[in-house]
Amino acid sequence: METTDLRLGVSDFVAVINQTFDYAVPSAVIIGEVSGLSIRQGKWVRFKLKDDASSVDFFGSIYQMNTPLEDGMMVAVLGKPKLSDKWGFSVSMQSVQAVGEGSIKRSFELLQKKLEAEGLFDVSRKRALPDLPTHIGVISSTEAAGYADFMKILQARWGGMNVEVARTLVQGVRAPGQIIRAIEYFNSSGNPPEVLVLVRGGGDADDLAAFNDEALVRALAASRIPTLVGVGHEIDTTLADLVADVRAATPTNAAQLLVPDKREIIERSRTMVKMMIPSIQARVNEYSREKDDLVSGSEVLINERLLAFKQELETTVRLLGEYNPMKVLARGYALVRGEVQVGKAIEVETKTTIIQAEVTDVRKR
Amino acid sequence: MSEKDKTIEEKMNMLRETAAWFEGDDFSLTMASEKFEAAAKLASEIEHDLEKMENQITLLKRSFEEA
Repeated sequence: METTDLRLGVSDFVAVINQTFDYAVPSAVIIGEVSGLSIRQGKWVRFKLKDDASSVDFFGSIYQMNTPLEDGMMVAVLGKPKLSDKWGFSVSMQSVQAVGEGSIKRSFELLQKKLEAEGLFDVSRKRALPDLPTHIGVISSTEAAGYADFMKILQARWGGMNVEVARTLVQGVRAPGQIIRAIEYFNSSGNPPEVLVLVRGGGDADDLAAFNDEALVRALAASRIPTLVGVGHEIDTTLADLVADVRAATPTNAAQLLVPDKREIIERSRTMVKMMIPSIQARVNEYSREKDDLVSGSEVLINERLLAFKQELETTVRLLGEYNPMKVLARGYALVRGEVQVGKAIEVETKTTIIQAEVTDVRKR
Repeated sequence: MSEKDKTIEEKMNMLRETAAWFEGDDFSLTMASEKFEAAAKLASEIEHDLEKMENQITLLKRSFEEA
């Protein structure tokens, strides 16, 4: 044995190795297939991750197992390598995420079933978003296309809002922890936003796996601030979508659901004013028609009255005509004037002559 | 509260009420001109208010990395 070799007791050796790990590999994301999964006392989780050539032990608490695990699943585990003085080498699990389409789907199904049974996705839990928010909290990566889409549409649609943006990772095993801390930050703020918006653009199943994290889903469910989640494309469904108070199909759709479009409101107010003109015109037309009807009705009444007068006049004239003595004379009668006494002179008027005559005889009938 | 102090929602509600007046039984031609002018002014104010509204965006400096 060389005299330069380090001579250490077991405990010191363990301490030196752990210090070396801390320096060289403070933490790492290790991807592999789960095998030998066991949960002791409902609390402690042990399993191996293996690939074609190697196998590594992992240890952690069930609270760090933020996605359901099964033997055969492909997972990415964020952990710290550690040499335990009692249990030997293992990686201390900090968080875990399914990787690969099959494992993600299986993990999603298991967790969805579990959380559904707890009522986390119940419609009765859903809260309405404020009609016109003035203060919103956004959780996203400012580098992400989804964030840019959301902000572009938000800015175009509405203004006057205080928008606080918490920058977090939106994919990978570290993302859920950061998003959870951002949710907690906003919820504990002295001036909390009226709504929390979690957005991320599209990606494959691995990219969106962070949004199927159990702790993240529970943090969203526990948020006292209403939540709006717009993750991925329309066809993507994550558990964060399911637990959100309002689910948007995309980040763009999240902005559309959150605020009205000021251009639509401007158009609507212009239309309201324009629609007043026909109302005025209709009333003017109505009054005009009414006036015409009244004038026309008066004319009819006047004409009727005139006709009645005319008819009455004609009747009177006709009647007066009948009283004209000339008409009687025309029928052959004669008008006698003077004293009808024998010897007296009288005047006899016929239609055509006036005769002076003397009375020669007067007899009673 | 003066007209200028009213929020966009309040102004929109006033505009809706005026529009309803034009459709309602209380409508009178005598008042229509005055109401119409007020509505047009209100619509113009709403447009102006909406156009000038800007969002205040704050990128939080704090890190959400695990401590």
